[in-house]
Amino acid sequence: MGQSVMRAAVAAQVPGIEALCGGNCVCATCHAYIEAPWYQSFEAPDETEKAMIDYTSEPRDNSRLTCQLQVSSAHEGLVIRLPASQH
Amino acid sequence: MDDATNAPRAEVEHLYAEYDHLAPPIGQDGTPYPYFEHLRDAALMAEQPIGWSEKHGGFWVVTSYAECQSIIANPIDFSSAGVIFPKYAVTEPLMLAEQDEPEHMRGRRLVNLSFMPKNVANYAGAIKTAVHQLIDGFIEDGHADVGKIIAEPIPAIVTALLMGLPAEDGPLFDAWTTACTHEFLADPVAAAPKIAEMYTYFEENIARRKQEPGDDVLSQVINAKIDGDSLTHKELLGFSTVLLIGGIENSAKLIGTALWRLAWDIELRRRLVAHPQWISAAIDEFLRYYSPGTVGRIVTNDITIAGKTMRRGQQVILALPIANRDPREFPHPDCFMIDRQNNRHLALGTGLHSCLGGHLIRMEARVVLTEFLSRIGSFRLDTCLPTNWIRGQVTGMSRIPIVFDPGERVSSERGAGVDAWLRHASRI
Ligand code: HEM
Ligand code: HEM
Ligand code: FES
Repeated sequence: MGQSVMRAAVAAQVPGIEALCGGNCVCATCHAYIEAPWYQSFEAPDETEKAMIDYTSEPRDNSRLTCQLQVSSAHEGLVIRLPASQH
Repeated sequence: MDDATNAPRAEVEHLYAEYDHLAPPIGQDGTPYPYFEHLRDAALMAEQPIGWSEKHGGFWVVTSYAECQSIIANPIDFSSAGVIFPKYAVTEPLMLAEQDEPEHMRGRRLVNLSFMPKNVANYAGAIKTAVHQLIDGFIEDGHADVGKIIAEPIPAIVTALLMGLPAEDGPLFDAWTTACTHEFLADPVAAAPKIAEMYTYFEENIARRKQEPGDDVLSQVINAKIDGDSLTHKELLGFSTVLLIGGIENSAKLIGTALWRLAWDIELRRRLVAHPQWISAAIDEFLRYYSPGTVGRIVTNDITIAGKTMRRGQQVILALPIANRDPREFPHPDCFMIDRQNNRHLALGTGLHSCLGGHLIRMEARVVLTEFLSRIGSFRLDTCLPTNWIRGQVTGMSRIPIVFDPGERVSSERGAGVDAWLRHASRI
C-alpha cells in the first residue's frame, strides 16, 4: 500500500493541508479538490468521509479528504487544488 | 561518558525532577515562558527529550515535538485515561477526552459533524453581536480588564449557544467549571454541591431538548444516529460537561493571552489592524506560541522512547507549550511569526483525540480579534494594575487591564447574556 496524498503533501511541505488528526478521518483539515481525470482514479469515498466533506466550508463535486486517498504509480502527475481555508 | 556530556545531563535531570506542570515559575515578562525556554534548551543540549519529574508522585515529562507527536498518535501504548493529572479517585472519566477505543470513536463519530466548519459558521453572527455588546459595556470608560470582560464571557456565551441554553446562564458555567477544576482541589466539600447543581441543570436541559429540539449542537447530538446507535442519557450528560469544561477554559486563555500580547506588541497589532485577513494565521501562531493546554497519558504497554523505558501504569505529561517551541520543527521557535509556513503545532492535539472544537475556536477567536481591533485599534496595558497568568493544566493570561481613548457605543441594547456577564464581572 502506498502513502496517502495527505502524507505526500505534508512531506513535500505543501502549505494549506493542516491534517490535524494525522489521517484518521476525524478533522477534515486535509480537504482538497482533485482535478480530472485524477478524481475518478481513486476509490470512492465512504459514508463517513462523504458526510464530513458536506460539512467543510466549501465542498465541491471533486472534494476529497486527502488522508483517505492512497497514491500509487497510477497517480503520477496528480493535480490537487486547495480550498481557501480548511476551517 | 565524559564530563562534557555529563554536566548538561545532570542539569536537565535536575530540571525534569523539579518540573511541575501545574506550577511553573513565572518570569519577569509575566509568563512561564522564560522557564520553558530554559528547560527546552537544557533538554536539547543534553539530548534528553524525556525526563522524570518527582512531583505529584512521579511522572514522565516529554518536551520535544517529535516525541509528543508520536505518543499522542499512539493510542495502543498510551491510554487517554490520564489526560488530566493529578486526579482523585472519584473523578468520572471525561466523555471523549478520557475514553479509549473503541468507545471513544463511537462517541466521537456521533458528535463530530456538529463541529465541522459549516455547522460552526452558523454561530459567527451571534458571536460578533456579543463582542460588540460587551465592548459597548466599557468603550466609553477608556479602560477595562479585557480578560474578565471579553476573554472569559465569550467562550461561555458560545457554549450556551452550542447547547441551546440561555446566554444569561453564562456566569453559572463559570462557577461550575471553577468548581470542577480549581475549587475541587482546594475544597472538595464546598465544590460538591456546585457539581451536583451542574448535573441537575444538564438533566433538565437534555430533557427539554428531547421534547423540543432546536438548531443547537446539543439537539443535533441528542438526535444523532449512526447505524441505529445514539448516545445514552449518561453520555449526553458527560458530553455536556466536556463541552462546558473543555470548551471554556482553553478558549478563554487563548483569547486573553492574544489580547494581552496585542496590548504591548505594537508592531503586531498595527499589522493586524491594517491587514485583518492575517488574523487567522496569527491565531494559529498564538496557539503555538502560548499553547493553553498540557495533556497527559497513561502507559498501557512497557515502551522505550528516546532511551527512557516507560512502564505500564506510569503517568506521562506531554508539555505541549514546550514542544511547540521545538527548533527542530519550528525555525526560530521563540519568534512570533504570523507568516509561518506549515505551522503544525500540537496545541489542539493530533490523532484520534484531536480537538473537537478546532474549527470552532479558530472561527471564534478570529471573530473576536477582528471585531475588537475594528473598535479599539490602539490600546496599551495599564501598568498601574497587575496582570495574572493562570497556572494549571490550562494556562494563559487572565487579568488584562488596558487603557485606550474612549469611543462610542454602537447600540443602546444589550443582550441578556451580556448583561449577566457585566454584572458578574463587576462583582469580582
Ligand atoms: C483554544 C482553545 C482550545 C484548545 C487549546 C484545545 C485543546 C485541546 C487539546 C490539546 C485536545 C487533545 C486532548 C488529548 O489529546 O488528550 C483537545 C480535545 C478536545 N477538545 Fe479542545 N481545545 C480548545 C477548544 C475547544 C472547544 C471550544 C471545544 C468544544 C466546544 C473543545 C472540545 C474538545 C473535546 C470534546 C476534546 C476531546 C476530543 C476527543 O477526545 O475526541 N475544545 N482540545
Ligand atoms: C469530581 C471530581 C473531580 C476532580 C477531583 C477533578 C479534578 C481536576 C483537576 C485537578 C484538574 C486540573 C485543574 C487545573 O489544571 O487547574 C481538572 C481539570 C479538568 N477537569 Fe476535573 N475534576 C473533577 C470532576 C470533573 C468532571 C465531572 C469533569 C467533566 C466531566 C471534569 C473535567 C475536567 C476538565 C475538562 C479539565 C481540564 C480543563 C482544565 O484544566 O481546566 N472534571 N479536574
Ligand atoms: S487528516 Fe484529519 S481528516 Fe484527513
